[in-house]
Amino acid sequence: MNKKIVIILAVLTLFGGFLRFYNNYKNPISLNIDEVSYGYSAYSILKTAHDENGEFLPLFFRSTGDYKNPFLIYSLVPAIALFGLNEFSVRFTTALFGTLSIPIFFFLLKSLTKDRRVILIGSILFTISPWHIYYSRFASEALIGLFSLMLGMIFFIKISKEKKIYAFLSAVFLALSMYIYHSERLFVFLFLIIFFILNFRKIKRLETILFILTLSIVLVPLIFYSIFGTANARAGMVFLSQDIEYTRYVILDHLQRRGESLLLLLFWIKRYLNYFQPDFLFFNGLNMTRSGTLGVGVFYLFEFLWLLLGIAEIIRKQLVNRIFIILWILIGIIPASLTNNDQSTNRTLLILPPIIFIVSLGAVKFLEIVKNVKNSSFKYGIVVLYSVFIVVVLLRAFLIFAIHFPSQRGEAFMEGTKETVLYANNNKDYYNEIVYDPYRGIEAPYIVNIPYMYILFYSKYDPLTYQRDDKKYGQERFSFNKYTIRRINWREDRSKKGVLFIGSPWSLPLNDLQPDEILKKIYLSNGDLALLIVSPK
Amino acid sequence: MIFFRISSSVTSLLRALRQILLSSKLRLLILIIGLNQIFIAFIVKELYPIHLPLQKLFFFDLIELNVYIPEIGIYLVNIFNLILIWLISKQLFSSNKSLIPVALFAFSPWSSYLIVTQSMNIYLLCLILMSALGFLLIKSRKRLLGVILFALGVILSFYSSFLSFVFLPIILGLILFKFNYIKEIKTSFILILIFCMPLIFYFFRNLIGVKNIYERQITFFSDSSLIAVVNNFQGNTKKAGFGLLSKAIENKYLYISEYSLLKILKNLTPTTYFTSQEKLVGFSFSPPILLGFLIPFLYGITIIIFSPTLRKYLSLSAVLIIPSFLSKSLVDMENLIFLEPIIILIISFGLINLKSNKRYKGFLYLTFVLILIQLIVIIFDINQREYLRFVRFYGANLVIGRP
Repeated sequence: MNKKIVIILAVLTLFGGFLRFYNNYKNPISLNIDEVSYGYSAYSILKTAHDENGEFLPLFFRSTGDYKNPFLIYSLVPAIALFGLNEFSVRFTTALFGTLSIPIFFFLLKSLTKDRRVILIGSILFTISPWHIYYSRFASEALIGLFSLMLGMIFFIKISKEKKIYAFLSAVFLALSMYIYHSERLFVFLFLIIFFILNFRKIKRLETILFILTLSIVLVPLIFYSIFGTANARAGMVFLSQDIEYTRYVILDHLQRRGESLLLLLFWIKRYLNYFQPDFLFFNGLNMTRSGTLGVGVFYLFEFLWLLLGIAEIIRKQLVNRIFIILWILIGIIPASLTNNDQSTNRTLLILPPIIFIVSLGAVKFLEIVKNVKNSSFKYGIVVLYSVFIVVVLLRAFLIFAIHFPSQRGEAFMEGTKETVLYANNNKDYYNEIVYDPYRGIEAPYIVNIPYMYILFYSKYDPLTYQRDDKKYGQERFSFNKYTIRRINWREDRSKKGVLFIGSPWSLPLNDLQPDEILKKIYLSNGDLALLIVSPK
Repeated sequence: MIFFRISSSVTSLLRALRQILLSSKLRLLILIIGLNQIFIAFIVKELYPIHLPLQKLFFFDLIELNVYIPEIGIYLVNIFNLILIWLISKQLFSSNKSLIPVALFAFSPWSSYLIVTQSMNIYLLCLILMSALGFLLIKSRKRLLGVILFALGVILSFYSSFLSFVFLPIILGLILFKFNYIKEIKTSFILILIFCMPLIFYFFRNLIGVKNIYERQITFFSDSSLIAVVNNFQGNTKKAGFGLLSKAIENKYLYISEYSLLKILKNLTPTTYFTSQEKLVGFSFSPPILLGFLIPFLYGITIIIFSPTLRKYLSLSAVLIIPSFLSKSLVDMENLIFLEPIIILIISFGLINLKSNKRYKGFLYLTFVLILIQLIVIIFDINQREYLRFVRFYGANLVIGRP
């Protein structure tokens, strides 16, 4: 590889690292539920070699009942050992993988095409990709899964060069990606089957046997846990048939059981095709601003024209890896489309590399078209205008990332919970009980917090103590030590002296509180009152 | 003498009817129209009762006269639409393939639901189809008939709906200047100008009425939430110390331009037509066009895009999204109905080419399997659940009208 390319790659990686690491401990504004769970589970493993539920080095973590995948949690252990249990350490690993993904993507492009312009433009687009930057800045299994998937795909493409080591490495990294994230589990399986069927005559026998054997051996624990254990518990929780739109609007709460499976099929196709909507792709796919407003799509708006040109190039030209790219995109959407979210950006993150490849093809075509324009003032006009367009879009994205996202989407990241936990922790000796209402939300109390995880995380609760603590479970109720997580009914609870209550204004109505009962009000960055800390006098 | 004239006219009429019944294509057309009426009657029966406000033409609104289109009018206009589509298809495809677009249109839930809910746009669609047929005939040997149909369609459109003032002049302008058909439609143009004089007179006589109608029909510019969003963004950015940058990047012109682009793209995205992403009449799970037709649509549009001549005509038809673009919502399926014939023609083109391409025969079979499954599912779904969705959406009043 020549010196110039190494320097460009180094610069892109450093710049990409800056975009992913800079202030990531405070933007996103707070740790979300998954992050505190990952962090505390890793802390528990670090201190006791058991998770917080007392299981020794588990392959799948029960956590808050959603049975998290192991890789991210184990990868956090060294970060927490180095930096302590805080926001930076929880987000460090993902940011690191996100940064290292840049050179990996470069090599992926190199294995797909020999056109240097496509490789260079693609690497730049990946470095500044809003989709990738967004998921690099907080703990994300999807991003690390993508990292492993890209490595697996690089070696998979090279299998045709008849080197057995590539078959082995490809199998290892593809299998690893299946341990890391749920989407990869279904994607890799479907992709390999369909790819082998379509290329049956071209496959190399020895390498294929080695590939399948390695894959099977590495996947044995996963297969075992999927059949006999809890590896697929999460999939069951989020399957499409539980979608609210489907149950309430399509099948009208199971009005007539007959024909439901066919309606589900049609509903699934609708959800699948939703991922080709322009608002998702270019206008507000990342949901970084208030609902109904324009924000940042999973791609920049200036990539729209390049994407169209790239699709035309893919159709017209007989590119060597055309089927590979198209399959990656079409199958990559399937796992996300089977879940109960309208458009899920983390579950579809795995289609980012092939789409950037297509966009880069289109960008190169665009440059060729502009180069061939005969009228020089018209040519320079296009160049200047498009450059201004790119700058405006990038600046707007910067403002959204830096200013609007923290203030408008704080609630999605449970903003305010940390402050309440720190207050409770600092004052717990003055109270017999600390009651936490898990329901919050500015528009309605529809957001379910998992406060006990925040309590464990921010108080750096000793994992061994927690594992041995007497925990009480009831109907919509959980308690350990002094902490009780339940709904607050202020009419009954207002007479309980010596108790600290933490909840949203829905459960602690301001009109019903005496001024001296309110100990603290927690506001979101946008000024909305999110939580109250009160104690009856 | 009179008796002889009457009897010879009746004889000619009977001869024409005999010709119609003997011709297999015309028999098929009648069959398709019949099945379409049954499909519409089925939807009406399932959603009964619907209390609908009657529609008034723009001109009568302008002169403040209470003349309404009778309910039966929409059903007759629908039959006329099917015949017009057939006649247009005969100009574009070979004679034995001209019934494909008619069948597609007849069984698309999109137009059927709008007919059931007495949408004014079905009537306006008829006039636009009439103008389109007239335009095609002008280029052929039936020039006089073409001139009359084209002029009649345009004139009646202007008299019928305020929306016509928004997009018809753009189409006329494109035909005249971009496609250079000045010589061909000169006569029609003169007729349009002459017969629209009374309309122009009343237009300026009742400007307040025009303003009210404008505010009712074109709601995009009255959306104050767009400005509120921009102010909110600018406020937050100024607080963070980027005031100047905010003025340059987050101003209302750029925001509205971006929002307009989103609207255009949403209206041109295939998922809008082939899935229930945008619910028909606000509540239906039926897609505007059956999903199976997405395959020939994509195939057809790929061929069209790579053909310079066909691409030119396709770009002209994009103007038909203007009524939907001007509504408050991102996509207004009622106003987007004018694009349906174009989509149907692209699907027909795709189907014809798929059939002739042996390599893609598998896709053709897949298309028909998907269409059959979905049609059966939709019919049962309409029968079992559509009325409840209708009630859930509209509540006890069961009135469909403009909000």
